[in-house]
Amino acid sequence: MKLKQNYKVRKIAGESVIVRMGVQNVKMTTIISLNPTSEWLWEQLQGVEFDAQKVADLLGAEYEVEPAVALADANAWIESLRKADLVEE
Amino acid sequence: MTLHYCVADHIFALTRREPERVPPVSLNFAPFRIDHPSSEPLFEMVLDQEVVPRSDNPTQIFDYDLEDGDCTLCIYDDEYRLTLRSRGKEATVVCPFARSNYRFGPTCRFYTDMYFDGRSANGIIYDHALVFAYSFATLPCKTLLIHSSVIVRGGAAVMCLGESGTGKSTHTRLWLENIEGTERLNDDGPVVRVMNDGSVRVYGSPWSGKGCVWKQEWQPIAAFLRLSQGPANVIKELSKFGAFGALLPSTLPTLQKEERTLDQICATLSDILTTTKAYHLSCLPDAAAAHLSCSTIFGE
Repeated sequence: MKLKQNYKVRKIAGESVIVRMGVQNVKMTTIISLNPTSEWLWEQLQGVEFDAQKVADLLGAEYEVEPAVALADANAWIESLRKADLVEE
Repeated sequence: MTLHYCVADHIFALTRREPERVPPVSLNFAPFRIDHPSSEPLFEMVLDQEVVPRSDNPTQIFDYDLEDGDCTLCIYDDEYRLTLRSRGKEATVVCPFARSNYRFGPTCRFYTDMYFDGRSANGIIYDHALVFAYSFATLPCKTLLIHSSVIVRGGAAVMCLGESGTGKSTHTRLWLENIEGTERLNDDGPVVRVMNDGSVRVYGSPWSGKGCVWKQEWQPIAAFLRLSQGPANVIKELSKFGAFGALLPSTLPTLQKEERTLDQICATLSDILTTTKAYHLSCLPDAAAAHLSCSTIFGE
């Protein structure tokens, strides 16, 4: 999978957010908050094809975390991206 | 003939091309008229210019509703065209710009076919045409029109936010009826401005909905208050993220359609929220709701 293009992380009063404008009269505008880890992953994965293992490897290299925990966190993170419609499979 | 106005310390000009014709001065604009502008206007709108239809297609089209009418915004490479329709009247406002650099020169110039060739307009079209022009031209000056109802108490303002029908005007009325020393600054479209020193002000404006309060004055902002209807009165402070989520939909939708204008809105909201608190109040339409928000915000 890949991160969808054209979403910019904006700094709002110290917080990192993505603003996704509604499509013509159909969807409401969505605002997504990124915590520091999520923002770091977002930057690492720009334009890159990835899966849960790749995310887990990144987490494992950056943080002291057991591989099994990293993989579980990676899956949870990808699930939250899917819910926010930020990935293309 | 040209008349000058000043809203939130930004000067603008309304012009009729024929020298003897006077631009209309509606009741809500009268308090903001100035005879001797102290500087060049930030923008000028020519009120009776022919708008020649374009044969090319816009890059984006958006439709949205006004309180009593609707609009279509067409975005072209070199201009915005906003067509406003209400109660059988129609007018188009054109905002030409160079997309490559978005530089307007000292004065941003708009024109509209309102009053062109004997046509007339109505208050809804006239007001919204100016909301659009004013919002567009003042965007680089850290200035935003925020859809809200504003209460003033003890030299500070509380700005009530929420979708139409949430009870913003009702909540401010409950303050006026139940809390000593309160007044209303605006009931629909006040102007918020970040000053050079970082302080944030809310100014009265000609756009006040049914509230009919057109005040040429400003106050510092004590807090934003996002309202929703609920089974009991509950108030809590919003995170910066929650506050942004309450404020962004309260800015003009027309200016959220392009990256550049959205960038400016977000930058200004970021400055505003850095210094200003925001709360969420789930409330009943009763006096206790007003007392709860007042005591929470003013700490009494």
